[in-house]
Amino acid sequence: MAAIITTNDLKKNYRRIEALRGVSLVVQAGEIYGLLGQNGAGKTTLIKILLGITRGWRGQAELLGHTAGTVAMRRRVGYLPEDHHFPDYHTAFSLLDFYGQLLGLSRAQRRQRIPVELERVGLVPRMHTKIRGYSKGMKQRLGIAQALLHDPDVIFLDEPTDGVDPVGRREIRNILLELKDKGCTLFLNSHLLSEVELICDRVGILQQGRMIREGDIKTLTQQKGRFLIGLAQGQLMPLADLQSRGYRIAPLGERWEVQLEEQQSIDPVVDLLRGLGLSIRHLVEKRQSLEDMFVETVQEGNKGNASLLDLRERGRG
Amino acid sequence: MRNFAILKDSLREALDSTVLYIMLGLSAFVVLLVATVSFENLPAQTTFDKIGDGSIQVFFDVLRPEKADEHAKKRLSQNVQANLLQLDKLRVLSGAADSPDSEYVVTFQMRFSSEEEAAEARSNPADAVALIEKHFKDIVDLGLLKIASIRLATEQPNAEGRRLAFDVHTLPTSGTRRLWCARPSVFFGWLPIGEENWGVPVGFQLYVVTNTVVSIGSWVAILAGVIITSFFIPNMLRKGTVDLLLVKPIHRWALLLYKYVGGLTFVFLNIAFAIFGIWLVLGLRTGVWAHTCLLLIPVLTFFFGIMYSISTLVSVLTRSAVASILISCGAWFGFFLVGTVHRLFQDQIRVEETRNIPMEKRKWTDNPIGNVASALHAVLPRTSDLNHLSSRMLYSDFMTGSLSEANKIDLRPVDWNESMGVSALFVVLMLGLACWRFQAKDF
Repeated sequence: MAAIITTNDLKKNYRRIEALRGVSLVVQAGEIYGLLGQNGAGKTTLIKILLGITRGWRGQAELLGHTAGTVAMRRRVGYLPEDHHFPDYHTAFSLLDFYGQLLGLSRAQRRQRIPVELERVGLVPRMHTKIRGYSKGMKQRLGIAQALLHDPDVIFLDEPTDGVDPVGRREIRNILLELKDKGCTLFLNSHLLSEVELICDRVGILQQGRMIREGDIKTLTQQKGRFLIGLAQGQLMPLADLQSRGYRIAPLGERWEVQLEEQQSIDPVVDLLRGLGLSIRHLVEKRQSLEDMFVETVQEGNKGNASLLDLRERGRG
Repeated sequence: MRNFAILKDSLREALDSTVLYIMLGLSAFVVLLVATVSFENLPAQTTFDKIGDGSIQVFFDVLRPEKADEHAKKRLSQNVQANLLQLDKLRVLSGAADSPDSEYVVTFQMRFSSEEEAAEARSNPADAVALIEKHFKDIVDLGLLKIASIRLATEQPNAEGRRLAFDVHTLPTSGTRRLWCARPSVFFGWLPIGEENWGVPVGFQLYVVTNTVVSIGSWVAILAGVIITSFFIPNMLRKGTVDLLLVKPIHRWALLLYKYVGGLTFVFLNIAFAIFGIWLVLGLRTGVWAHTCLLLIPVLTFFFGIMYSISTLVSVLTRSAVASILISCGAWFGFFLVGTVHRLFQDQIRVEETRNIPMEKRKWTDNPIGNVASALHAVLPRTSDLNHLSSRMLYSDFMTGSLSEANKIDLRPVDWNESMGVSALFVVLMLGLACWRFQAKDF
């Protein structure tokens, strides 16, 4: 798979503020990559650098094999910014026609593609109405349509479901999955972690301009050494036996959570239960939600930063 | 196609603004008001009477200082000699009576200082004919009338020995309509202006009307243009809007320059509508087709282009329409001030030079304020020169008949290459700075 997005030690300062402090990431073709982070973590700055909207960065940033920000590369990129503001003197149709011309689409291509994209986001009935009369959700749908208009190879979406109702969100999610099936690469910034969890292949967590965690969702949400065990109804868990063998076990609803230490395995637990004639009805390695993982990671990051700050303060002292 | 798209987008933005419709409405109102102006041709006798006593020539020489002196002297001599030429009668050789397009034989009586002088002229009229030719020279030179012949009249109605009658055979030209005395009225003749024997040539009246309308109208149009277009670039640079444009495969400088051209096009269309309308209705109503007047369209657009380049730079720096409007208007006033002070000093320096005032006594030459004004004038756009050029164009249409003639009699000769060059360079500098800033700016 070819790398569509590559950054290496990417740094960006806004005067004294360090927005990005050496971010490195690679997004492969056909991936849906989610970038997570608190407000001000540097997510939008990273996207804007890749698209050439923000300049004056250091390090390496490449998009589609070109240095970030080149004009030629922009033909193959779609973008929906956060807090987008469309000129309200346009209608959905005229706006897409205008953007289509800027993208170099011929008149015939525009006539063919605009209704298709507006149909995809459900705006055809209102496509000749001025944008100033649109709801927030409609504007968001229009934003999606304009990002897809020229059939780009890679699409950057900054909070794509912001202001969209649950039904609309599902529709947008389906559109994104459909694009993924077509081989399109998607780069997503979102605070809606449940959405990200549903559609992203990999995520990265930015905190204060640093990439503090990155990986595929399955790995990141996996909780190593934690298992949930359920026995047949009426059977009792042999707590004393397990604890005497050094296993930590605690009830979790109708099931039991076993926490393994380093070098411990779940197999002896299973053997013991079966040896006692107990019927195991449920055995699964426990996972976190993406939200739990995110909050935990960010909190750890904050602690780390606080300790770093402490060390610096002590150093100064 | 991309560039055309940006122009079209600017136009769409302008069309969305109600101010545009107000401007077009105002322009249409002014054009219609001008269309109601009528000029009722006065009898041929009035025009030739005014030519005879020399008062009509004054209107055509209003900007010629040396001619003004000549007219003053002539008026003095007329006081001594009574009237040099006095209209006696006229007859139409061809064409309709009292029409400027007709051919006339006009009989003037010339008064001599003595009977002997008159008797000599009767026997040898060449000197007197030359004197009459000289009297008509300016009018003929400006192409306002042709003189086919001047000869001693066969009938000498006055027995008085000090007067002689001369027949002047006149032929019409395309400019004769401008020379013709006419009585103006507004609202299609409903409201006449001036006396019945209004001795003002229609060309001068048209010049005054159009110069007034264009001066006020262009000021209003450019101010309104500055206000409306000041929103174009800040709107484009709004967070969430600019991002969507910057990710399109188009260079930032091209985006900005075409937005500038879009604003310029909008004002061009507005000015063209008003000027073309005035040109058309005046031509239809008076038969005087003021073609040079159409050159006001690029001149006024260029004037606006200077102001809009400032607005563009301020918009890129501040993203504020209000700041753009205030600074553009401030700059406009500044250019006007510099131009006026510079002109004042230059005129006074010329007077001091003409009067050969010794250097140590000269107040205006080498004056620090004048030097500062000159230095600023050298680098700032010459908007006062553009105003001057506009006025000169109208003058040439309605008075002299051609711009080259008008330039010949210009009181304030301007080096147009330098003036336009400095102004154009200023525009290039403003846009260059704006593009440079826009190119490097983070959004």
